[in-house]
Amino acid sequence: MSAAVERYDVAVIGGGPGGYVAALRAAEHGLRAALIERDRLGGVCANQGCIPTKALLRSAEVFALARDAESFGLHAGEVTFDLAAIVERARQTAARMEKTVEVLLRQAKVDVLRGTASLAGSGRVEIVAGDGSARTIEAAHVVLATGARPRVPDALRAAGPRLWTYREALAPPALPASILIAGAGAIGVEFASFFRAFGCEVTLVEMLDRILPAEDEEVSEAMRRALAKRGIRVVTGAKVVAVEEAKDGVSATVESARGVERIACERLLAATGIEANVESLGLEGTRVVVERGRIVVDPFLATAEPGVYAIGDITGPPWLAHKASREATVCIDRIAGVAGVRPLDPTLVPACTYSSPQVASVGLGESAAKQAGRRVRVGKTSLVGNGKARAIGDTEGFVKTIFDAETGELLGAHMVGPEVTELISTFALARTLEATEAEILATVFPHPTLAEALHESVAAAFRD
Amino acid sequence: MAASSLVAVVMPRLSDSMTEGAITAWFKKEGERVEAGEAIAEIETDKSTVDLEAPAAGVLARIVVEAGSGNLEVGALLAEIDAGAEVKSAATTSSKVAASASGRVAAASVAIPAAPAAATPIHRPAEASAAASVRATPLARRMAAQAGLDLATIAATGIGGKVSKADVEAALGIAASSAAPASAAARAASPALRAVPAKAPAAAPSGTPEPPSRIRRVVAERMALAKSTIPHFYLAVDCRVDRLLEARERLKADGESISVNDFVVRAAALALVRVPDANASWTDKGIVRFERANVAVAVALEDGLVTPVVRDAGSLGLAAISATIRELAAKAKNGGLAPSDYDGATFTVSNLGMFGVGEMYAIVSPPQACILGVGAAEPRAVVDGGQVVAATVMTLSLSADHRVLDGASGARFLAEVRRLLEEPARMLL
Repeated sequence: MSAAVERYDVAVIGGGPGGYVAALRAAEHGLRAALIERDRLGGVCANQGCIPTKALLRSAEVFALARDAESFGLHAGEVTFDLAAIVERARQTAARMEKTVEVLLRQAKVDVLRGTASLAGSGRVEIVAGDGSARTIEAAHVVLATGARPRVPDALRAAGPRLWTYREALAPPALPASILIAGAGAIGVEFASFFRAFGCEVTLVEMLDRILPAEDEEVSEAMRRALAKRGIRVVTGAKVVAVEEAKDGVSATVESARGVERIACERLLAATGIEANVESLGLEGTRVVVERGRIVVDPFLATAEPGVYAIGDITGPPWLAHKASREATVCIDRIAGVAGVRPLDPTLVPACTYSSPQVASVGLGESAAKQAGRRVRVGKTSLVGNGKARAIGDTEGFVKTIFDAETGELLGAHMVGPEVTELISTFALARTLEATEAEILATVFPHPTLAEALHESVAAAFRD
Repeated sequence: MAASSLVAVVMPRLSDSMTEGAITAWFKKEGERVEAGEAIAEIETDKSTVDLEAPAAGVLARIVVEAGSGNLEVGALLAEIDAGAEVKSAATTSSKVAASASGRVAAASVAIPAAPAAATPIHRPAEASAAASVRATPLARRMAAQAGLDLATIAATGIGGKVSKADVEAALGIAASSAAPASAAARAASPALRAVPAKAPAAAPSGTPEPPSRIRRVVAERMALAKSTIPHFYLAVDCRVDRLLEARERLKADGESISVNDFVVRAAALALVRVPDANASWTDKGIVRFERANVAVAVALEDGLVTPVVRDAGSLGLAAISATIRELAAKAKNGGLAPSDYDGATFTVSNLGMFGVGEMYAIVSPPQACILGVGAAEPRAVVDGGQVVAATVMTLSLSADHRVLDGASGARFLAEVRRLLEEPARMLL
């Protein structure tokens, strides 16, 4: 054991988009900060999530455009691809991000400690390094930001080495001829989109009655049609209850109200959700409350144990990097004594799915708005009428906005189509500013843009 | 600072084939001290990413090329180091880490201010100058107008000290609208404060609670406030309105459709001019006497009560008052009242006569000091010259704020209203 115990103002356990933002923020406030990471800086987001998957999907997007070159007046001959190169590009992008996080932390003079950390009582954190050596540090405030890992239902485990989670799926050694993706949330839909783009037979199985169940119902329906049009088989209200090894793959038993079906596939991708990394953190014996696998926190991310906080995926949904980062800021600003810190309002957090077509949303869905007792005005505009969409040759999609009929508050916005993951920020800003339909209608949107559809959607909501 | 001590930092040639590069990140800010050989930025070429080392020790005097800039030729000037300068005080410019290159990552850095943000005022100082434009979000502004609330009286906790939707809802006594999904609400529960689960409540009378409309909520809030803070007293007079009804018939024959209530509003307005005590308001700073009589007229809607205002009713003739009230009532029923239609009332008239109510005692509407309640004009037995005769009588009541008026002033006012209604010709004076 080292002789002197290092003392910090803030110790952050976990270096993902929650953890490293917390450490940087602490340093900005002039607090002495340490960040403990047992694997790669940047966490899942940089290394196995957001970043590499977007790089993969970009390759898919370019491939699709290249194959469609004729419709743009181009001759591209037979467009082929090199999977290893596609995967390598994603890996390099991830590595670049990891390095950037490292640089930022170094620049901010945050002590980055490598190893697995756990609470050791009274502001102490024990860190066990890869070689087994242990050290202890002390911190007035400890922020838990250990993220989450894929949750794999027992029924799927029988697939053995044929089973993939997103970790394996983003670095496939070869394209499977067929793949069954269990779970049609954002991750499942993105991978379905990716693998289909390169010619795999894709079956997407979802337990609930619609894909992308967290999105507005019309989005789910539009995406179901869009994916089906691309040749993806979508099965909803169905669950994989058993898996058997079979020749060159697995045989999955899928149960639904319609009966039982056996689906043969080369690979099985479990995209059935994630579970928080709350084990081995030394929470036992502390007052930290873990409920349904998540750490319970107050609006400022404090746990029930004084001096211990939790941010990001370990506190529950939405499981998004930007939610973790914003929680980091709220948590640290509060610790630093900044006045007027506002808790994160989850209805201001946009959600994006980078499939083809893309999906993006913020705020309440139509059903949720009505269930909350609001009288609503809904405007929906198809991209078919949008000049830019026509010009770029991609008109599949729509923009839907939901307003409170009495006050004109923008309750929610939901979109499907090209670049909507970029467009959603306009509505996120409108909600943060508490704009009403009047301000959005008073804004001049440039022509020709996809963004004009945002204006058109609002106008449609207030027509008549 | 001698110009000759400035050392140029240029884009290095990292390989024989390199012709240009990009700056992806600056590790140092302008004004910061750098050592010779210290990594001060990150350069990216099509082949690699490397650290740019400071060619000399000193202070990074000027960053010429921002992070995120590409297509920089080998030899291009990137920055200047002042080799002879003292260290400047902490840089005031925020870090120029690239926003473009690493999207999410750098955005975090750019968003961080150099020093903790100055304390955001939680409460907007309650200035008396209502004329000053109040900073509020568009949504809050509209909600306040719909509810008839003065923005200046609402504590502001929104971004930048603006009145926000949550602030308006708090002022209306509405629990923050639970737009957040249930999971977020569960998350927000503070474990440290979680009490022992309460026992199941005793069986409550059955009935499904109906969420009140926005108007009803506002009315509920304001009535509770008025009754609990204003010391009410009540006076009543019976008015013989036979002459008034005759005058009304004669005007009808002329094609002028004037209601009894129009007469009452006219009489009240005139009385307010003649007995100004009743046209006042109690405030923390003292009693305010209004210059004009802006008379609010209560209009019953399906889901609540609204009180549009007849502005400067004291100088309007009977016909003008009648037309204004009719217009406001129609607007109210169509939900088309604008904030200017119910702002600034100094007195209210509330009439339940059409329902056959004999006497009614209304609740004063703050910040006003009085409200006139009007009952039905009905045939009653009265004593006239020692004889019992039949006459048409209408009971008026005055509910008044005893902090502003005492009984005598209230009585004088009510007497004047009765005088005018019993002999409408006096309204011509």
